Amino acid sequence: MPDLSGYWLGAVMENSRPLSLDRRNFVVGATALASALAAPSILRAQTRELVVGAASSQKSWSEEIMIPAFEKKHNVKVIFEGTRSLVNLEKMQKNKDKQYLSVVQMDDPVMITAVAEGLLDPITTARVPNAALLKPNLTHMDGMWVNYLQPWVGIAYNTAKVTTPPGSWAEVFDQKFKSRVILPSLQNTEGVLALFIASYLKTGKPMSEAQKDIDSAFAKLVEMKPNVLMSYTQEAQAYNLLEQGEAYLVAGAISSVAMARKSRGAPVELAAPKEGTFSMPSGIALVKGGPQPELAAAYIDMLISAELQSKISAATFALPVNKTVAAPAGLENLIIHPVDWANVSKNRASWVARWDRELSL
Amino acid sequence: MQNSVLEVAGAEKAFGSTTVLSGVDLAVENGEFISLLGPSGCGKTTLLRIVAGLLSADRGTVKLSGADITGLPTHMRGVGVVFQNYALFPHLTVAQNVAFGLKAQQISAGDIRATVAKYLDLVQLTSMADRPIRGLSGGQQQRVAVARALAVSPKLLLLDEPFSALDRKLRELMQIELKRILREVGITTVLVTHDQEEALVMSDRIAVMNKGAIEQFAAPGLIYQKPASRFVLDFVGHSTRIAGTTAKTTDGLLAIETAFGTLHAQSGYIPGSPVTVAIRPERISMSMAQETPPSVNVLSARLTDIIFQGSKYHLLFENQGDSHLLVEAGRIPEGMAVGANVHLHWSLEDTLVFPGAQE
Amino acid sequence: MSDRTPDRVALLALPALVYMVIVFAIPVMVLIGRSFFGPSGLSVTPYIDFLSDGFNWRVIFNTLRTAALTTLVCLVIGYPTALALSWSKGFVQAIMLVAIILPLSVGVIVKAFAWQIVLRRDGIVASLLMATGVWDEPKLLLFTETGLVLGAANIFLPFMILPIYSVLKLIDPSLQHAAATLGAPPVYRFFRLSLPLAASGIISGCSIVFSLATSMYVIPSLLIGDRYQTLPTLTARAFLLMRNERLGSTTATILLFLTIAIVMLTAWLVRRREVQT
Repeated sequence: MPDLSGYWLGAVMENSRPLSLDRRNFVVGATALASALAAPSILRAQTRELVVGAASSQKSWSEEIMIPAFEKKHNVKVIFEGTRSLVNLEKMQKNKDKQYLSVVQMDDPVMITAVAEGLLDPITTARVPNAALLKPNLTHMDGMWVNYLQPWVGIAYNTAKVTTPPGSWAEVFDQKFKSRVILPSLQNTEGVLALFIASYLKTGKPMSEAQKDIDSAFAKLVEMKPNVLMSYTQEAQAYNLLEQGEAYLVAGAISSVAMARKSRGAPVELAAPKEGTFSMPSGIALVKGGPQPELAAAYIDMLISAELQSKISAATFALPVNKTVAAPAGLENLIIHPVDWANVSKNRASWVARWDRELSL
Repeated sequence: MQNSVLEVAGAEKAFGSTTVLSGVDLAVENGEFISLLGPSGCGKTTLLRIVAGLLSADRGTVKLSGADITGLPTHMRGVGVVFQNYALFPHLTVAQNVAFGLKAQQISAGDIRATVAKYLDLVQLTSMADRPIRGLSGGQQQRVAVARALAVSPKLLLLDEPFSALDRKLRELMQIELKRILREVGITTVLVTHDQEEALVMSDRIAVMNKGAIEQFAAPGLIYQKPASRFVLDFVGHSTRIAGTTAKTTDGLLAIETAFGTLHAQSGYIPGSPVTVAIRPERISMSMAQETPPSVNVLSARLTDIIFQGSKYHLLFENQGDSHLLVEAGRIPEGMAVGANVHLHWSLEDTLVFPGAQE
Repeated sequence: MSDRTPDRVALLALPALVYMVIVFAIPVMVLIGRSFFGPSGLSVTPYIDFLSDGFNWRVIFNTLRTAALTTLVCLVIGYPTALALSWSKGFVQAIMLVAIILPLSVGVIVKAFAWQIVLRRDGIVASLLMATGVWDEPKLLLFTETGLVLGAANIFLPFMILPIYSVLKLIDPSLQHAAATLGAPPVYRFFRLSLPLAASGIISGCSIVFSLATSMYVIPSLLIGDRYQTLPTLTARAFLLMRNERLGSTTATILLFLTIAIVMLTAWLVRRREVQT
């Protein structure tokens, strides 16, 4: 059994693209890293700036909605260093004595590592008043990080091939979808969530319990094997197959990804199953010892405010984290079950190994 | 024609707009050795390839021992070929090369071994049996190629310029050696060559080819002494040629007016036709001017040059500055020296006449 | 003076040697080293752990099987192509060479997506097989071993054709004629003449394709996914995802030695047979 260092945790938990280091991300990440290792403070100190160690997958709404609003209100320049969770963690580790990041966006499992290494400051209602309005289960480890959005995992389907939206996860196992279903690989985070759903369907236990019963999860997935066309690590490939009609369903589709394809005119729709679902990890935290601590707190406060949450959730079809904000139309009744990420981190490697064996061709 | 091993009738072949063979007929008797002689491009190799089945004719038939093989693929014809470059299989030994064709047929290993040994012995390569092809001399390679072709007992053997890769000394040696081998086997053989000496030395009959047609098919002596056309005359051997115009025929004797005076020949032409009189240079006799000429064809000319050629001499004569006559002699008559006035004379039988006055 | 000439000529290979030592030999040594040296010193524990797991034997089998099938498909398609190429002349040959070499400039990912279109159940291949009555209903080709082998063979085909062609074009065409005049029928000529003469080209083509196919990573990732693990996909995951360098080094070393052993053994067997016949 390989040891579970923080390194690989970070890599494993990356949002949906665990192995792809596309060029843009790489360049952004590399440049950021290079400037970080040079003398960041000299370069940064001249103007009022706030550096956000961000998730590159969240770039579009950040730059279109969040950052302009924040810059206007506080008269500050926000530097959006979009990269992967692991790189953000490394930036904080390397600059522990003189942080230049003020705010950091990382996947929840990486947050656990950052907390353990003492890199984060707690988010308190005193510093971030809107934190009081967060829905339950979205404040983690006594406020060390919070979730800023709830992108959820549903069933994406080809509207030309599937006329009745699948209302239940159980439909994914229906014979009529023989070799027409795409699952996320367990190497992808949404694959873990699909595993939990399988367990729920097998056992009928509540989702919070079901995610501890991985034996049942695999038993259910093995039953499903005839339906599985492939399991993807590259989401572009999965959606290509779905849009071409070779696949009818992607079970375990991330809302933001599916909706982005739909908005570009692809014959794709996302169904929210009645049993409820899980949300993708999406944490934000204050960097301990980072510059501009007040601005950093204000950034998070604005992000989870009712005004921004309603705009962003409408734009991304994700659920808002602020309980005063209504869910986007059609998602009013969607239940999001909490995920025990610590449990995931502990067992992920063995699950991946087991996936290879039990789902192999 | 019961006895013909090979019979080609009306063979035509064109590559695009270029006609290579224009209706060739050829019949080769059993056990005969014939040559297809001609310059490059005359169609002799094309004819060989058609006979071997490596090329298909546009029109015409090929028969082997009376059977029509025109449409038969090469490997079913029973026609052996020794290629110009020998085409030996480089991945096999000498013996394996000889055995190749035998193994392709359902022959027992023992018989194969015996046959290979027999033909290796015939070409005197028994000691080289297990040598690889690489490293054999040109002559040895040729002998392997011959043994390989003969081992499968073909009805007909085709030799495609087999001596062109050998130097002169070896070539002459191999010509004699090959003739011995083929006589021993008694196989009907067609040799393709552009080398007249080779054809003259080896053949029972020679087919002289020009521009896709056979100009003359006859025994070597006849080809040399009675060439059927001006082309055959020029292609085979040397000749002394004199341009002239025919005059009247008296008692079957044609008079021809030339710059050297009147010559005679046993030939029929309308008076006033431009012709070329040709004589093989060794058929011309020489005598000093004061003696009485023994022939009707006599002319006097001045000796301008003597060229020593080892076994013989070439003597060049001239008359009125521009006409050069060649005479070949085993020895120089006494008292004959450059500048001397000489009578040249030859018999009527040796006087050849061809239409056209070009020399 | 002439004694020194070979040394000087050898100097021409120096840049390549230096380059290969730096970018290949040293990293491979490091890689092999890492698989044997753990925190507790020299040990073969990773090998024992890896090889004592039945699943991993299946992974090794998958790797070799896919590579062998890919090589076979490439050979069956590539040999006639190389033959046609060696017979063709001038413009036709130039067009053929371009058609064979140009696809190398198209990225593997683009090709994989193209194969996805060609091989899907309403794609060209399925439509063709349905129209000709070979299939009654569309069958799954994508994400099957068949699809993987077809896709990989497509990508590696030039590496089979070009070495065979380079040998075939040197073979004297009159050898075929000679064999025919000796009474050898076409099939006999093929097995006793063409194949032995082309053996060196076929061996190099097969070695190259087999080596490429055992070590391919992107192609199986895209054409079959993680439900069909091979040594390269396991290696990549060990390094990229699990950050377990020792496991990755172990699988990479096993792959390296298996490939070298099989390529060398095959070449040796073929050469030995050749000498015997």
